Parts: sequence; structure tokens; C-alpha cells
Amino acid sequence: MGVGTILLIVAVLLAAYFVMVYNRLITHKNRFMNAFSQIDVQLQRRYELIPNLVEIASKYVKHEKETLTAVIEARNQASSACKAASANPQEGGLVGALAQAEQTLGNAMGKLNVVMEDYPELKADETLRDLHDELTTTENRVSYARQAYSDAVMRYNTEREQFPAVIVASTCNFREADLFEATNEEVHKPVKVSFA
Amino acid sequence: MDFFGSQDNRRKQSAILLVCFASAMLAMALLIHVVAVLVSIPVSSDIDFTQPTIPAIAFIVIIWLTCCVGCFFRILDVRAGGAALARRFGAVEATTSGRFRDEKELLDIVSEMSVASGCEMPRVFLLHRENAINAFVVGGFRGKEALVVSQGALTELDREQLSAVIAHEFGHIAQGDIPVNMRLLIALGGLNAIDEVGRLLMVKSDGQLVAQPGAIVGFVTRCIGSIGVFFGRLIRSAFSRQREYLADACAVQYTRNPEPLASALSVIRDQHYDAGIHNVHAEELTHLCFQTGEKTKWYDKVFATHPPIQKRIDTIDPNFAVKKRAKQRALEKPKTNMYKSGGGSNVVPISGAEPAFALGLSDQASVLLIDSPTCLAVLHAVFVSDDNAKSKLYYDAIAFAYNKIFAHQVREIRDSLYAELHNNQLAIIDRATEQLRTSIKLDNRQRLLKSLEKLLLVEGEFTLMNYATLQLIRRKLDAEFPVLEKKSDAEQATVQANQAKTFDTMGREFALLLSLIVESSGNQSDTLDEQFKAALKCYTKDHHARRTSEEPGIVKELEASFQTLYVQPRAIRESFVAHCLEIAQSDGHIAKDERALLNLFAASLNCNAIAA
Repeated sequence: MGVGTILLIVAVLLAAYFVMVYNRLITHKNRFMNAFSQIDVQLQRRYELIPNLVEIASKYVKHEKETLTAVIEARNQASSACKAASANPQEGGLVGALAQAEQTLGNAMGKLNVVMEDYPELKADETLRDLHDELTTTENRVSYARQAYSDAVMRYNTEREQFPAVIVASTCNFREADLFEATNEEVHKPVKVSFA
Repeated sequence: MDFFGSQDNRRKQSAILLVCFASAMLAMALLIHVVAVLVSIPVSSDIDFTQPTIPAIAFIVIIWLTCCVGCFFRILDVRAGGAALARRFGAVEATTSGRFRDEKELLDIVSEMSVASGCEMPRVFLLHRENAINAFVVGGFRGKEALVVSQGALTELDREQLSAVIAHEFGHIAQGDIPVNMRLLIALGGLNAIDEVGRLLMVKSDGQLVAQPGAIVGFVTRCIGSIGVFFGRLIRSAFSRQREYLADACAVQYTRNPEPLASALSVIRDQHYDAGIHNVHAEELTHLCFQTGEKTKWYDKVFATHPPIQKRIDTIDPNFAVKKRAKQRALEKPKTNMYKSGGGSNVVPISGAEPAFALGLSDQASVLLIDSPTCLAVLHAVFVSDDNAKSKLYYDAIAFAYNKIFAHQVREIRDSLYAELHNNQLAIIDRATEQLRTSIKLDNRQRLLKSLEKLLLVEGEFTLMNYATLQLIRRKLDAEFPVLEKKSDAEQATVQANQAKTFDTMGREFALLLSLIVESSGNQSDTLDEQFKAALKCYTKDHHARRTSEEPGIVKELEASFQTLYVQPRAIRESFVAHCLEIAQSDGHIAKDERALLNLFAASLNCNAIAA
């Protein structure tokens, strides 16, 4: 067995290892992309529900129209940010921008809830109550989806940064994934949707 | 808990167990081979393991065929998918149309958890007639899972706890336990079939043994089958226990909160009936359930498909018990604070009062309880008997000890605050003593207590409850206890003697105190006896009769008991009072009498920390 054969075997083994690591990275990447699309699905559902809520609220709320328009505006912004981010979750900053828009929407919703507190007949509305239940469970799903996304991102990043894999990652342009976090502090405040 | 690390660990262990299962099956095949050759000796008189004779081969083939047929029937079951299996249990599919509100909530929770775990949403079924708390997943080979939840889980658990239970089941799905479990089910089905065929070969339909060769073949077949089933179950159970821990770790990952899962398990633990599913098909599927009934014998534990609940709770959150207690205390705090503002006392009473037990004072009482003389009169009014003759004696005694005007004042207050003195005694005493503690000197307070005691003796109403009330007033007035005074006197010798007493010799004292606290719950006398016996077992092996508060001279005896117990180490006293508190709380609330007694015990045994 000559030196050439040994070199050939080593090269084949290395290539096989390279392919294995590459495939593993792809798997993890797809997993976190899928996790992100889950957030996306739930957020879309939430964006569909909010206009309905505003519509019902507008029947009762007479004076504070600007709160309602603020909610709708925030919702539209978040919706477009969501579209941009879901098109390319790995693009730097888009996920952060979405989280930021979500934060604004959350604040607007909070104000709306405070306003609605003053209208007892609004709180008694049957449709609104159903909508509220639906919105609560959607909120929960959003947070669970975010959590699943964070777990997937953590696994992907861990895989990407470990030693031999980091070489494959840097040569094949596997970028670090962003966590679903807004850049400012306010995002850590919970969004309240309680009418009770 | 470190759920990622824990998951890795469990996965490794269950892989080892699966290898064990496979090798056990191989060993089974070998055993069948050897046994078949040995059995065929009488027929062929030739032993060669490598080239078995024709009867031996026939025997091996028959056994394997039986096994395959057994497996085949199970495969048919499993192929039908989770929904069909769930229906076989009598489960009904949950729908969004929502006949019940909790059904809709369940579906919401399941959809949330399917997002959290990243699994497909399974079909959801409800066991309407099952009151035990349980949930399990059944499934086909790929997909088609059905999640079955018992009605008990819906009614007994709150939203968070139910989410945790569902998350645990999703943990099973996400970890791929369902196909493995189903395959184990099939393998066991095959082994069971060997056992069953052996039994059929051995015994005729009327229960008699069949003729010799058939019986021997049947016996051997049965042995093989039984050994197979034994080891199969053993490994299945060990595997299943590992998977339970793994699913728990996953549930914590999905909900990011160990507390609801631990508390859901503690709810199951505290339930009185068996946690297992009560159904004809239940035995086959025990390893799928959320939790099964507790096993106590060691051989049952080996076959238990689930780890003991306490162990699971400890793994999820080692400090759960402490946290739960702290949480309960935090929940009770607002109540006691309310009491504080209403009663204005710095001595917080034992918390957990029944809601009907009003803690604030009425306007009338608040207006009255401003100046010291009225407060004094109120304290006297507390002890006025309902018996007319006795109350007359009491008033006369007051008139004799103080003066007629004061006796009249006591009578007036008694009449105007009659209802409140009965229902809201604690708050009134609180307010009155608060006032008196600052306005009267210690000497006078002690004198007041002595005279109250004398008045009670005159009245002939020195009952247990009145004694408890008196001790409460004594404590609130910061007056010394007579017990303490006596001890500080020259009775050191008796103190020494008492201190040397062991638990057993104090049995009488414990028995007395326990019977009083048990009795104050106001249950039927049978249940009282039972509770008393259970409680006494913790202290002594001797038998003591249950005492009642109506016995004459009980108060004197109680005081003597307090003196004996008072000199015991603090740890013993505190744990005893804590035990009494537990007994009082065991029926869910603390009645007025129980509260009074507990206050008395805590005060007399100098365990104010627990009283607070």
C-alpha cells in the first residue's frame, strides 16, 4: 500500500466527515427555520384576530378613537415586519425588527384594554368574550412558538460553533441565527389581554 | 431542573434497555432451540444441537408460529391507529363545538403544546366516566396519534397543571416513545400467545390435565412463554420508567416551568383513589398512562411502569414541598393582614380561617371598644354563660368583685353585642386586649386574669373552650403564664424528672391533646376515633382511649400536660403543634373551635413561631 493510497483513504474519510457535518448543520438550520415559520403562523393568526377585536370595540368606544387607530397601525407595521422576516429569517436584524414591532403592538393593545375597562357593556359582549379566549390561546401559542424557536436556534448555534463544525460552517456560510428578541428592554414586559 | 442534560441522560439509559430487550429476545430464541432439542430426545434419542431432528424442528416452528400469530393480532390493533384504540377504551372525541367549556380549553391547551413541542396536533379524546386524573397517548406506527384525557384531569387540575400534563404526553410523542411502546406491546403480545397456547395444550376445556405427551409439550411451551413474558415485562417496565423521566424533562422544557407539573403530580398523590385507569383493557396499556397507582411491595416496584410519584416530583423540582408551603403561606398572608388591620393586633393568629368567619368588627363594636373600661367590660362579657342561672351568678360575682355599675355595664354590652361575641370573638378580644395592653400596668393585667379565672370558677363554666379563650387573652395581654411562673419557682426537681421523660411515657399527654384537637373538628365519633388512632400512632405504641372535652377536670389535666410538654425540647413542641395544625387542616378548613384550641396549644407550649 503506497503513500498515495493512504492519502486517498484519508481524503475520502475527511470528505465523508465534511458531508456528515454539513448535513447535520442543514438539519438544524431547517429545524430552526421551521420553528420560525411556526411563530409566523401564530402571529398571522393574531394579526387576523386584532382587526375583529377593534371592530367590535369601535361599536362601543366613542371617544378614544385614536387608541383604536394606534392599534391598527401597530398591527399593520408588525404584520409587514413579520412578512419581511419570514421571507428570510437569517437576514441580520429582520427578526429583531419584528420583535420591536411586536412590542409596539403589545403596548397599543395594552392601552386598548385599559380603554375597554371603562365600557362594561363591551366586556359583556358574547362575541368579544369568544374573541378574547381565542386571542389568549393565540398569545400562548405565540410564546410557546417563540420558545421552541429559541430552543432550535440554541441547538443550531451550539452545533455551528463546536470545533470541527465551525470550519464547515464558516466555509459554507452558515450564519449565526438571531434569537427572537427586541433590541430594547421594553420587550420583556408581558402583553396583557385580560378583560375580566 | 436541567432538562436538556436530563434528557440526554435518560435517552442513553433507555437505549441500553432497548438493547437488553433485543438480547433477551435472542436469548429466548436460543432457549426455545435448546428446549426443543431436549424435548425431542424421547422421540429421536439423538442429541445434536446443530442439526435438530425433525420433531424438534416441528416444535420450534410451532412455537415461532404461535408467537407470530400473537404478534399479528396486536399489529392489527395498532395498525387501526390511535383513534380506534382510544375508542376501545370508551373515549369520546373532543370537539370545538364545545358542549362544555373545559373541552374547548383542553383543545386550546393541546394546540398550544403542539406548537411548543413542534409536533403535529393529535386527535383528542375524553374519558367521560373516568374520575382519576390521567392522560395517555396511543398511536399507530406513524402519525395517527390520539391523546386521551380523563374527565378527572379536566375537573381537578387548573389550566397550568393540565398544560403540564399534556406537555408530558407531548414529550412522549416528541421522543418517539409511541412507536417503541407499540412495538413492545406487539412483542409482549407474541410472548403472551406462547404462554396461552401452552395452557391450552396442557389443560382440557373442563380443567383436567390432558394425556402425558401433550401435557409435557404444553408445560414446556408454557414455561418458555412465562419466562419470556416475565423478562419482557421486566425490561418494558424499566424502559418505561426511564421514558417517564424523559417525558417529564420534556414537559418542563415545553412549559419552561417545573412547578405546575410537580403540583399536578402532587394533586394525584393526594388523591384518595387509585390513579390507574379503571377499564377492562387497562392492564395492557399501563405503561402509556401519565401515572399509575402506587406500588408498595418490592416485586411490584420491579414491574411498575412508572417511577413513584414522590421520586418524580423530587426529580422535577427537589424543593417542591418547600416552595408549595411557602406559596400557601403567601396566599394566606392577605387574609391575616386583613385581620391585622381590622383587629389591630401584633399577634397574628393561625391562618386559614373559614371564609364565613368574619374578621372585621362591626361599626357598633368598633365604637364601643375605644376606652379601657368598656374593653374591660367586654372581656368579662365574653365569658357570660347562656344559662340564665349561671349568668346571674356570674353578674353577682362581678358586682361583688368590682361594683354594681360595672356588672350592669357588662350585662349591657353582652346584650348589645350578643351575636358578635359569639361569631367574632377573636376579633373582639384582639381589639380589647390591644387597648388594655397599653393602658394598664402588668400587675393589674395579671390581677385581671386571676379574677377572670375566679369568676369562671364561680360561674361553674370553666370549660375547655373558656379555658382556651382565657389563655388567649392572657397571651394577648402579655401576662405571664402560670405554667411559667411555677416552673421558675422552686420546682427544678420536677422539671428535671419531666425532661427525662421519653416519648412513650408522655403518651398520656399526647393522647389527651390529640383527642381534643381531633374532637374539635366536630366529626362523627367513628371518624374521630379513626383520626385519633392514626395521629397517636406517630407518638406512641401504647393504646390510649380517646378523651372528650366534657369530662370533668379535663382542664386541670390539660394544664398538667402542658407543664410536662412545656419543658421538652423546642423542636418536639413545635413539630407537635405543627402536627395539630395539619390535623385541623385535614378537612380543608379550620373551624372556630379548632382555631381556639390551636391558639391555646401554641401559646401554652410556647411555639409562637408556628402560631404566626
